[in-house]
Amino acid sequence: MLNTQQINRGIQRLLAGLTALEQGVRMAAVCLQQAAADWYRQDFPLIGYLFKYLLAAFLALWVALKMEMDQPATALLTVVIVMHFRSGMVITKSYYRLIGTVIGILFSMLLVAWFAQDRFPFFIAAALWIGMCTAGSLVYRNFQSYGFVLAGYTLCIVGLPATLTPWHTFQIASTRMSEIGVGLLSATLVSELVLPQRLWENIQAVVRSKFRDFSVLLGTGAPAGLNQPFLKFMQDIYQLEAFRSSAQFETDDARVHSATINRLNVQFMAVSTTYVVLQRLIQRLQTRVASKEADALQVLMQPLSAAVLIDGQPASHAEAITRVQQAVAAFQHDFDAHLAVQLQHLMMHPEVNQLEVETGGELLSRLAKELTAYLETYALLVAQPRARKVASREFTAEQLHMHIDWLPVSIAATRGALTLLILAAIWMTIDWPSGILAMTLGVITSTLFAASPAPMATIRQFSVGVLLGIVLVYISNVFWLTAAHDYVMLCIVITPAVLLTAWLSARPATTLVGAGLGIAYFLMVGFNQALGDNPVKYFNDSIALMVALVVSGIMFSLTDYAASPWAKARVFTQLRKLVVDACLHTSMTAPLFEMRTRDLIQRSGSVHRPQEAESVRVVEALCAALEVGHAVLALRAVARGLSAQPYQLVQRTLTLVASYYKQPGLAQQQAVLQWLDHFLAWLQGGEYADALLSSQARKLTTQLHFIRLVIAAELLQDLASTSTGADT
Amino acid sequence: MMHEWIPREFAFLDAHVPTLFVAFLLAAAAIWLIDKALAAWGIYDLVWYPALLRVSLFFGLFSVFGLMVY
Repeated sequence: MLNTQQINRGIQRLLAGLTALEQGVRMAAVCLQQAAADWYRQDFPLIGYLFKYLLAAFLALWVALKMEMDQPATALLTVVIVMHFRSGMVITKSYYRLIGTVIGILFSMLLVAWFAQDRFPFFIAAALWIGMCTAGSLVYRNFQSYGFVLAGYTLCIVGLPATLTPWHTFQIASTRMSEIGVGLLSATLVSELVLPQRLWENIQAVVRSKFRDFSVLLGTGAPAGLNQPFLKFMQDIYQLEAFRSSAQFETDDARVHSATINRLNVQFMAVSTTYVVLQRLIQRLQTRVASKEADALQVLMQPLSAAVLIDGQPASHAEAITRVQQAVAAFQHDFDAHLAVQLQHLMMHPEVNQLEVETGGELLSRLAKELTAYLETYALLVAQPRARKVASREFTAEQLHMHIDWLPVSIAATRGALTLLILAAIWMTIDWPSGILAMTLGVITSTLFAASPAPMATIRQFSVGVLLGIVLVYISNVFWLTAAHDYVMLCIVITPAVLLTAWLSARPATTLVGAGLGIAYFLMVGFNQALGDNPVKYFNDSIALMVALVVSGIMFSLTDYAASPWAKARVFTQLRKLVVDACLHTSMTAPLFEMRTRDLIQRSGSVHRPQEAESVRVVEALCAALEVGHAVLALRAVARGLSAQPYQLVQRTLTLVASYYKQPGLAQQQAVLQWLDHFLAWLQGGEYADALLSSQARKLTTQLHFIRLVIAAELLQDLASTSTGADT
Repeated sequence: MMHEWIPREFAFLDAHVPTLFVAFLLAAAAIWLIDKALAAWGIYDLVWYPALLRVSLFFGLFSVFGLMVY
């Protein structure tokens, strides 16, 4: 029998159980929601990308088949080549691809018109063209370089088949053009319309993280050495430039703010350089026995470090940035007083060289000035929810100047041309049916990877992709294509290859494997002229791809310029050459010097391997060059307002410094140092009264003293690097 | 009407070119200019799906040019 008490207890228990259950459900829901949010943020874009990739491929295939084009696979290959995670990048890539293709087709037609009757001049001219395209792809950055790759590749897919049937050249050219056009249109349409991924978010993320890193560095110093952060900053600068240059065709804010982003980049370069120079000065002073000067500079620096961090954290929102700006302005305002106090304080120590503190003070006030400018632009871009733009008249944007080194460019050009000639020779001597395919892949690899910092590793990865592609082609040609009877089944046949290509190329570690897979698969897949499988052609084609890879691999390993110790020694020599230019040529300005030096190092490939000891040396040399180069340029800026006599003295200084950097050696160094001592003594002796104002004299003194410090410090490292650097 | 005096095909350096192709190029050029203006005036901020607007504008314009031919 149940009495009421028992029933009540039961109900209570039931209620308690229900509440617990409800809590559990709620927690599960929260967990699920969070998991879903994570998934949406991390995995969903990738899945969306795969879906887009498939859709673009299907669309291209459908249109190409509907229009009864000769080679629908070319349209698919085009889709594979231009698809990119970011929508704006697809349009930019397509744009350059179109330009490259048109130019390549025009040249192919010219070539066939000129030399169709004789193969030797034909191949010589083709090799020259490929050489030019390779050179172009190395000289230009980002997707512009891509246009050159495609101009070369188009010669292979239009010009070479046309040599067999010259009377069909125009037809071949126009059908290839339409196929490529179909591929480009489907890729751009799909990536624009379906789940577009915008560049602006990327750009903002890079800008923010750069600011955060720099604030932390400024605030807490660099306990682990300056080289790593400095390299990181350099990478960021070039990454931002890459994004910016692809934003031309974006619908979002990225395009509108292009000039602002550029200005931010240039200002960031300046401020990071000044910071590194200052830190190196302090480090150099610290190595002495008595480092009162270094202590004084650190005391001076302290308020600035405190200003950039708010409660130990980098500023993140608009209000915090405004606070940082105010704090930096306050620092600038009080700086002269602080410096005077420090100098007064140091008066008591007769052994302390006040000049060094003044030099550091000069750098510090420059740092604060540049930081203010940088913060202002940063606040414009990021602080408000709606970024404001800089009027383009206000900042006539300076491009990131390039430093072109013609030696590696000509080596790459020769390599491209030779690869083509070797493959052509094989084609002609053994009368091999798949020669054209081999040449096509040979040209793709030698132009596409010309700028790669480690071409051997690149080729290896790419080859893995090509092998995968060959295997997949076998399966789809023999087992699947023979069973495919309509469009839907054709789509099913290509789906695995497309998905695999998309997935591999979306992951940074396997991008090249994906590219190799996609290119090999769609070069060979069997639904061009005749549907289905042809074993003889399949094996010939696979051998052709392998031969092409082997030949271009050998060519790359024979002419691996970037890895040779000689190339590294040349980088040092060129850095010195830039310093010489800064001394002697009036056309060299501070931003130009800065950009060219950085571009030189960026192109030398050391930036991509920051862990290696060699890279550390390169960055060390870069910092040293930036240090002395900026000092020399500042000295020249001071000299502009001087009267004849001191002006000539400055000129003599510049010539001596230039000759030291032209031919580094103990004798030259001694000469420069002696002259600088002499000059400084003259300035400090006060005999200049009628020739100089005292403010000018002070500026000259600090700059000269700084140059002296830098050159004197080169003593130890110098002898080591001269032994490798002087003989080039 | 316009299509009475615009040929559907014409010879360019002895190659037959459909006039539709020229219409396509014209539409592309026009869209490029319009797009620049829209971006500069910030119109895209007011639009829910800028890419869709851009593509539809292009197809609208292309159709207008195409209808002039046919």
